[in-house]
Amino acid sequence: MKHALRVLILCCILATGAKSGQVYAAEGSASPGDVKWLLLQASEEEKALDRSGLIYEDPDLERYLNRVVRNLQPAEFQRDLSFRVKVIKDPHLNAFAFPDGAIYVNTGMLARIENEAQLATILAHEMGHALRRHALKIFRALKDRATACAAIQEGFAQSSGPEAVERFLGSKGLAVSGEAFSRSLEQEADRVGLELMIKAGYSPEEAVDLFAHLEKESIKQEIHEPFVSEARPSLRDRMRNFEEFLHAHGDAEKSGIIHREIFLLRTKGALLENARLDLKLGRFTAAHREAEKYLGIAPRDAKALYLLGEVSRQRGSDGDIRLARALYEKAISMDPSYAEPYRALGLIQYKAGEMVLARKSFQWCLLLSPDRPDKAYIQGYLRKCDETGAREGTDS
Amino acid sequence: MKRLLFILLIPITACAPWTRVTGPFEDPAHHFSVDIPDGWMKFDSERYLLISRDGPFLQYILVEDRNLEAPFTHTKRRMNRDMLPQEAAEVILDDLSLDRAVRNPQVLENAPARIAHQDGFKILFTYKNGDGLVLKTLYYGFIKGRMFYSIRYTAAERYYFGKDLGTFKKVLAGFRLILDSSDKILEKIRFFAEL
Repeated sequence: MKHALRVLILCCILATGAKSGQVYAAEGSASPGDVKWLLLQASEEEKALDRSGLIYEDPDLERYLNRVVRNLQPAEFQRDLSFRVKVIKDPHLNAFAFPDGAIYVNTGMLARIENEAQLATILAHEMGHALRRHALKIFRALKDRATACAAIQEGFAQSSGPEAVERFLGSKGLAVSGEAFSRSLEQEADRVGLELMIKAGYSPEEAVDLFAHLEKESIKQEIHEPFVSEARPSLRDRMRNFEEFLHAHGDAEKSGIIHREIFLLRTKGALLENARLDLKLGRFTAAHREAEKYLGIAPRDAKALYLLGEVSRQRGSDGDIRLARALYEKAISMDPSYAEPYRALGLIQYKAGEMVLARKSFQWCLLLSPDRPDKAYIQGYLRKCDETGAREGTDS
Repeated sequence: MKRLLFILLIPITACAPWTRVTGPFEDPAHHFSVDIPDGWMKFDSERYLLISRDGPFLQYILVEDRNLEAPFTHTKRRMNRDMLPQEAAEVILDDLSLDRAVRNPQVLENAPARIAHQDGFKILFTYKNGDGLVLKTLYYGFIKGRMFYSIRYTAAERYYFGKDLGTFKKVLAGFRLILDSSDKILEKIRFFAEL
């Protein structure tokens, strides 16, 4: 029950955002006790998340994201809300905000965004939740519902930790608060977000393009992730809302900052990290596309070439092994001191019975990385290569 | 893993499916046999054999045989019979690293191993559960025919892991494969093909 309560609190805190004492105090019926308690819980959850090992550490990227958030933040709230952004190593499409202004964006979200204006769409949406104190509204709606606990318990049985929180954010938590209610909050956050974007000078058309792009992807990859869950307005509805909003604002405001190059440059590390995560997840198409996108920014990067090779090797469809070999060889030519492609090439050669070549690849791998964690495997392969060589020598 | 324990907890309190069993374990639903140590209890499940002495939150041994086509919990990757032990270990580690209930997983060892006369792998890793408790797991696995077999021991790192490691090693040493008739035919074909 303690966990269920914790998740209930998290639903309220994270489903939206809202913050610090002063901003909450502006809410006419706000109870200071409630607010303090909510903020305290939020602070505890942030600490837990920061300690979880899930945070993607890249100071340059964080600085960049925080600069975008500062550009978006309305001057009248700058003293009340301290917005800051962190990135979570998670390939799923999601972003969320804590009530004290901490915004978390998944690498999976960054990897699918094309430019700074689209990034601003996501960040401004989360800021919209915080500025409109949606956490408090959901908290109060949930408090009064007897179904909340039952739904939370059911949801918690299916997952745990941050996963539970996201599950709730994506569907159950919002659903408990009432589908129409949660959708209206999402729409409000979209509207506020778009206003922030326009004020900051970003091209609002990119918001429409972002949701069109996400919708295409979610259909193609059969994505059922928090950002496209059933409790939120559909991506198509959001696209339509944005179009109507833009139409109401007139054509003059449609153009603006896009900043594609700077965005890709600053987020490329997270993009490659996400490609690794998608590979672990077995989402080969996504991993392939992300590695290709990264190579579009840094075409000579040996790590990305190796990763692309890993996608092919692990997928193992027709022609993949040949392609993987070529990519590993290219990675080696770009950075001969990088051990991983030697290991991967060695594995292919070993399985193909090319023991002389495999031996050479494994030797290089160990020479470049003598204390690697899989050293015992490599030494085993080398022994087998030697045994085979000795046997063939005897046979001949 | 925490999810597994959570699922287990409910039945513990509800209908007590834990039974004290000692000696050989053989079940027609599984392709392996092990010796259950004295004083340990078995959890009733058709999918795996789970045994514990002090309760699964403190220590457990889990033995499982699964079809290579069976999906994993987190990764969509699949194993196949042509995989090397290292490649199979990679799939297990990928699945583990995607489990959000497993915090800060640290692989201490990943090496080849022999289990029941088969080439396989062993992975030793630690992680924190949602309550911050550090758990340690020694995981052995191998592919044989169309099945993946695993036998793992998980316990609280402090005190409990060391306490029952010896018992686990005995269970591991007693692990035997029970091949069905089709597996036996394949074995014979391979044997003669290699001659």
